[in-house]
Amino acid sequence: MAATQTLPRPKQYDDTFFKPISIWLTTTDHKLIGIMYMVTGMLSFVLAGIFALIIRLQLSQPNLSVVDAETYNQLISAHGVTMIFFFVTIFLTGIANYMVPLMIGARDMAFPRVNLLGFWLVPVSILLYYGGFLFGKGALDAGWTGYAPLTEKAYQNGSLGVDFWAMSIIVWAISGIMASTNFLTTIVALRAPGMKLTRMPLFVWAQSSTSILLLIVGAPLAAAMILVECDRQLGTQFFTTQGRPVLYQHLFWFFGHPEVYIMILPGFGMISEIIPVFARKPIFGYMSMVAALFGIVFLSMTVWAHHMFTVGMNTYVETFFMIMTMLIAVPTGIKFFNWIATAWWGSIEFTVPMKFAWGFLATFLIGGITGVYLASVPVDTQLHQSYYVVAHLHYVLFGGSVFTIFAGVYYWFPKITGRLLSKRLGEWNFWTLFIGFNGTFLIMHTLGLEGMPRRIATYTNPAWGTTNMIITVSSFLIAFSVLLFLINIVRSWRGGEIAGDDPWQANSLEWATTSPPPPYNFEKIPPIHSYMPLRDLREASGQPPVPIPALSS
Amino acid sequence: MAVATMQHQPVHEPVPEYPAIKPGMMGMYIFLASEVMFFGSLFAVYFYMFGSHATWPPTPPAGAKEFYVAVAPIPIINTVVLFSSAFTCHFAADAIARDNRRRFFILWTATVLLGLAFEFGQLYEFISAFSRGLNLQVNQFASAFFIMTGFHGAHVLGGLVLLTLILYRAAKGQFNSQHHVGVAAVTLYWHFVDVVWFFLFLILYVGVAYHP
Ligand code: HEM
Ligand SMILES: [Cu+2]
Repeated sequence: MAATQTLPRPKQYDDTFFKPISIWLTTTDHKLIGIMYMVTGMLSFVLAGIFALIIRLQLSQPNLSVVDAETYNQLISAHGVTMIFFFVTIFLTGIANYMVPLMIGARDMAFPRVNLLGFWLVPVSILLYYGGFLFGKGALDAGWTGYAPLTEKAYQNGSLGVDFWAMSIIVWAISGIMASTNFLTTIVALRAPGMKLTRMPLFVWAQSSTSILLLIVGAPLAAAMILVECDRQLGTQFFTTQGRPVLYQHLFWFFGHPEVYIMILPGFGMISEIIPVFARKPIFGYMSMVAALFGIVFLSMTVWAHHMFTVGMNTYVETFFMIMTMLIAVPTGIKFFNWIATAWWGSIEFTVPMKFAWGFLATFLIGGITGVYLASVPVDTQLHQSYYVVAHLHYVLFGGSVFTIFAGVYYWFPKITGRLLSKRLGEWNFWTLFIGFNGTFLIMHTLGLEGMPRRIATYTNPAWGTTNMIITVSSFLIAFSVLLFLINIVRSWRGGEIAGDDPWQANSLEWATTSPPPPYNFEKIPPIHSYMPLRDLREASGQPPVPIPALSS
Repeated sequence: MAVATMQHQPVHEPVPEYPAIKPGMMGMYIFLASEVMFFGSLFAVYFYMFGSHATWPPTPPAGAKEFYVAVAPIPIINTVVLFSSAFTCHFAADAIARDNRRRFFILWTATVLLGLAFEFGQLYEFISAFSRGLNLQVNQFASAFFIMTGFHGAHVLGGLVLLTLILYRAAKGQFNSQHHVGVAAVTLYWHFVDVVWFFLFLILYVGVAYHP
């Protein structure tokens, strides 16, 4: 903290964030749109986090009634929807919006105005969802998955929350399809001279695979929501009790499982950028990293029914989905071993982004392993709808996606703002988050094995009280950690140490321009002869590497 | 500012082969992939319900004669109309690529008119179906039928808006043999709408009327 004496900011970028609102509303600059995505995502994170704390208070002891059961159901639904649709996916889109054009040496996205429209659909979608609380006589209360027939009129008691949710998700899907089209076109058509496909940074590859996934599964999600709405408003019979409720689950999970990869693949990409930079080694197995991404894209669309092992499917169908699900651990495993091999014998610098990257490896590994357990039909029949699943999904989503988001923010904040984040706060942020996270979710596995069901407003078994109390206390440690993070962001943005163009001695093109980059991104694009153009430049110049700033992250 | 000059700085690298296809066109191709998935999901829903019913379409209410949709006359006429519009559209785009503006205007306007005719045909079909009691609520076949053809109709309507927009831009002289990505992209979209109709006609009309 002592390091954050206010240093002067380079003059021409003095107005990084505090621009007139009219500029924010109408800009087509991918960097500003990226920042707006990220700010929207962060606000959603805080909101959904507050819901989580209320949920944890309610569950901290048996038989509590901090909130009543109906409110509780609305809270868990809002928590899930906000975290998945409005935080993780949106924040990652923001990072990619900012970074992808820079990393491939483009001046902007292929369709800047589509980009702007796509972004503004996100707040519309969020407001629509929360409209349910204000005008809907209660928001969605069927969980983020919104299973039919719970969402049908017959079970909703006049509440319009489901309608607000369905509308919101349709808008979200349209926005996502626009963003994906834009990313893919940009990546195919706007690469700088010399930036062959095989010279693209792995983050760009990860974003391409993510966009392909969202492009494919976004429309089925919209279709599912449209049909739910038709059932409710036009009296059709798709998912009603006379219809085929399980069909809803198929449509939803055909989106839902790929969505979990939409939330993790960009994170994989960021880790593939961060580990080579701080291990001072090229990534191990570049081509196998790319191949693994596309293996995951393909496999992730063939596994959706592993969420439905208890609905009574044909045994052969179940076996098929079980095998495909287990297969997905193979490309994921390839990525893991490549990351470890990259760091192996490297001269590792444990900066804060690197710490988050290793935190990610540790926690995501546990989530991946519990995933393979759950993929086994007989095991899942026992564990489905229990806290074991909650533990699994948080290990992959929080320990996976959210840790990579933190890693990415610590890594790219200097580029975006021109200032370094405080290292001391960053270390505190990391360790409190790591301990708080594991304290919260590790023992949830035990609760699940002991049979505590998920999505219940309270429980009567006194034996679960202590465990739940530990979880609740740990969850407040997470909240404290996020608070540290936010303080770090605000303080460093206003007065952090000046970063310079390339504080990390990184490899990819975004570090070749100023921090923050000018509106047109590059004054001059360096020659690109490999996937590490900046490293090539440094080696060609023969200058000794500049040490990483010691005091700031 | 110096931005403009900077953007055109010479880069000392062999110029790479850029994709021959224009971003606008590529964007349309990529976007249509998601449209394929949208209609694909609706077809999947249809087949799921087809497969999980003993009789398909479900037996109509007692006494209703000619309850379900027939192939003739309107649907078959509509099919011919929409498929001809694919040709007019294609040759219109071809004409502008050769700077033949007169031909472009005639054929493009014909496309719009044929599209409109299709929409009116569909509207007529819907109204007559409703009048004989075939509506969204009667059973799952009806639900799927109206939603699928309805969304197709909405896409045709969207196409008509795009076609008109292009007509307007063409009237202002914005297209020629060098610049016609907009025309090409909308043509592509229009063909897509056609292809969807082909499958709808095959499965919802022919399949229902003539299945064993
Ligand atoms: C090795 C990789 C993985 C395997 C084998 C796997 C397997 C599974 C299985 C079988 C379930 C269903 C459990 C049940 O409901 O009974 C599940 C649930 C879930 N998984 Fe995974 N998973 C993997 C990776 C991931 C990743 C990377 C994410 C997200 C980043 C993720 C997020 C989720 C979520 C959110 C749920 C719960 C959905 C719900 O019911 O609300 N999983 N996983
Ligand atoms: Cu899954």
